[in-house]
Amino acid sequence: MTMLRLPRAVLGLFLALIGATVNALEPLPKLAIDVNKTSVSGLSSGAFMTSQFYIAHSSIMVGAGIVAGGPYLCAQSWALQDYLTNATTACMNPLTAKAGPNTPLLVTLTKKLEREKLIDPISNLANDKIYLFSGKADAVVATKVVDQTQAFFRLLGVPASAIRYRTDVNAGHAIITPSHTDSQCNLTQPPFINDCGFTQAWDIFQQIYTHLSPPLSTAGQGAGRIIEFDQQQFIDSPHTSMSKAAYVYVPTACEQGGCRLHIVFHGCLQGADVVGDKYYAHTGYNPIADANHFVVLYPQVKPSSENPYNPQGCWDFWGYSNPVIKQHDYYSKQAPQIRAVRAMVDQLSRSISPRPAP
Amino acid sequence: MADTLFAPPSLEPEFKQALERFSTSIKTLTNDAASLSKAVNPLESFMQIGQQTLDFYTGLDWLKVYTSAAKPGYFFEFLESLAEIQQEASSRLSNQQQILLSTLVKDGQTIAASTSSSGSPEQLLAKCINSSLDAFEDIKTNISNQAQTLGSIQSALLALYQQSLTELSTSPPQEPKRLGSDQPEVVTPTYD
Repeated sequence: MTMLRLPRAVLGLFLALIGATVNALEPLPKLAIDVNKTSVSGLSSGAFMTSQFYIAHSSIMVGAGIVAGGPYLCAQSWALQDYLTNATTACMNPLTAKAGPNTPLLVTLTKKLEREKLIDPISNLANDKIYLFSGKADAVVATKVVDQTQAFFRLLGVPASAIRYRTDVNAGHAIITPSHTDSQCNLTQPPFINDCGFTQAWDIFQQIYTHLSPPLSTAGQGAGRIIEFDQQQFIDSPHTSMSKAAYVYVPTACEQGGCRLHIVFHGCLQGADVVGDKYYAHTGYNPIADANHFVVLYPQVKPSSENPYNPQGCWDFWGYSNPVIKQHDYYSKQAPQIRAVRAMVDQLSRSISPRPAP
Repeated sequence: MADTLFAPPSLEPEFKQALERFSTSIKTLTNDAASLSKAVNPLESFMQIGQQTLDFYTGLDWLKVYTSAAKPGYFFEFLESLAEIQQEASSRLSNQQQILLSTLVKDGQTIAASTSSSGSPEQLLAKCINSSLDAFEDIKTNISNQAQTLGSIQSALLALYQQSLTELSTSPPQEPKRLGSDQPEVVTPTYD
C-alpha cells in the first residue's frame, strides 16, 4: 500500500510544481519611487482603509482622497457596542447625526496611539491636502458620517483650506467616472462605478498635488503596464482576506524610477476577484498616472466566508483581520493589512535592479 | 429494461431551471445562516464591549454626573435627542413596512397570475416556483432592511446614553456640548 502511495505522492508533487510554474505571478518590481510624496485614496471600506493607512503612515504621505468613508477608528465610536456593530450602524447610515461617529473620542484615541508610537506623528497632517466626497443619493455611507470625517481632520489640525469636501453631486454609493457604460449617477449597485460626468480620480489628484498635467483621456486603461503581481509574499498573517494577486500600474516613464506613488483601495465587492479589471483599469487613475509620472498601486481583498468572515471582500475597518481577542488591531502600523501594504510600498521604493533577460 | 425503469424522467427545461433555482436558493440560505453563525462571536463581542465599557465608566466623574443629572437643561436636551431618534426610527420603519406591503400585494398578484396562465402543468409549476422565489427574495431584502433599522435604533439609543453620561461628567449644565456640530470639542474622558 505504501509502495502504491509513493509514486502517487511524487506525481502530485510534480503536478503541483508544474501548476505553480504555470500560475506564477510576477514579483512586485523595485521602481525607486519617491516615497515621501505618496498619497492614497479609496471608496467605502477602501475609504476607511485610506484613513487608516494615511494616519498610520502619515510621514510618507502628502494627502488622501476619501470617497464615502467615515473617520479613523470609527468602529470604536461607542463603548457599549462591539466594533462590528459600530461599523455597520454608526459608521454607515446612523439614525441621527448624533448617533454617528463619536469624533471627539476618536480624536482622543488617535492621540493616544500617537503617544504609543503605533501611528506616525499627527503633526504630519498639517501640511497635507484632503479630498472628501459624499454623494447626495448615498444611503450606504450617509453624508452625516462623512461630515464627521471632515470634523476629525479639522480637530487634528488640518486647516479648512486644505480640505475639499464635495457634497454637490447626486451620486449613489460609487466612485465616479464620465463613462456612459458605467451605472447611472444616482444608483447604488455593483460594481459601484457610476457615470456622473467627471473623473473623480482627477478630482482627487488635483486636490492633493499641484502643477499636474491633465490626462489626454481618462477613458482608456493608460499606455503603461498593468502588472499582476504576487501579493502573498507581503502578507505574514493568515486572516487578512487579501487576494493572491494585486496590481500595480507603471507608466513607461516610471520604468527608470523617480516617480511618485498613489495607492488605491477598492470598496466592498470591488476587488479583482469580483469585478475583474473594472476598478484597477477603468476608474481613470492610470491615464492621470501616465501624464504625471505616478505609479499606482492597487492592493486587493477578496470575499471570505470564514476565517475571516468577510463575505463582501471589504477592507478591514472593524477588526476581522486580527482575531486575537483584546487585540483587534486593524488601524495601526502593526495591523496585518496595513503592514502588508506598507511592505509593498517599501518594495516599490527600493532601487531598481536590472530586469532579467527574457 | 432496467435502464428505462430507472432513467430520470425528462423534465421540461423551464421546470428544470426553476427546480435548480429553488435548490440554489435553499443552499444560499443555509450557507448564509452558517456563515452568520460563524461571524458572530459572543465572547469576542463581550470582551470588546467589556473593556470599552470599563474604560468609559472609569473615565467618568460620577460626582458630576449625579449632581448635574437633576438640572433641567440636560433633561430637556436628552428628551430632544430621544424624540429625534424616535421620529427617525418611526419614519424609517414606516417606509419599510409600506414597501413590504406593496411588495406583498404585487408578488401575490404575480403568483396568482402564474397559476392561471396557459401552458403545460410543468410550465405552470415552473412559473409558480419562480414567482414564489421572487417574492421570497423581495421579502428577505425588506426584512433585512428592517433588521438593519432596528440595529440602528439600538445603536442610537446606546450612543445617546453614552453621550448623556459624558456630557454630565464633563460640561457645566448651562452650556451642554453637542456632538455632531461643525466643530465638536474633545469632551470625552481620556483613556490612558
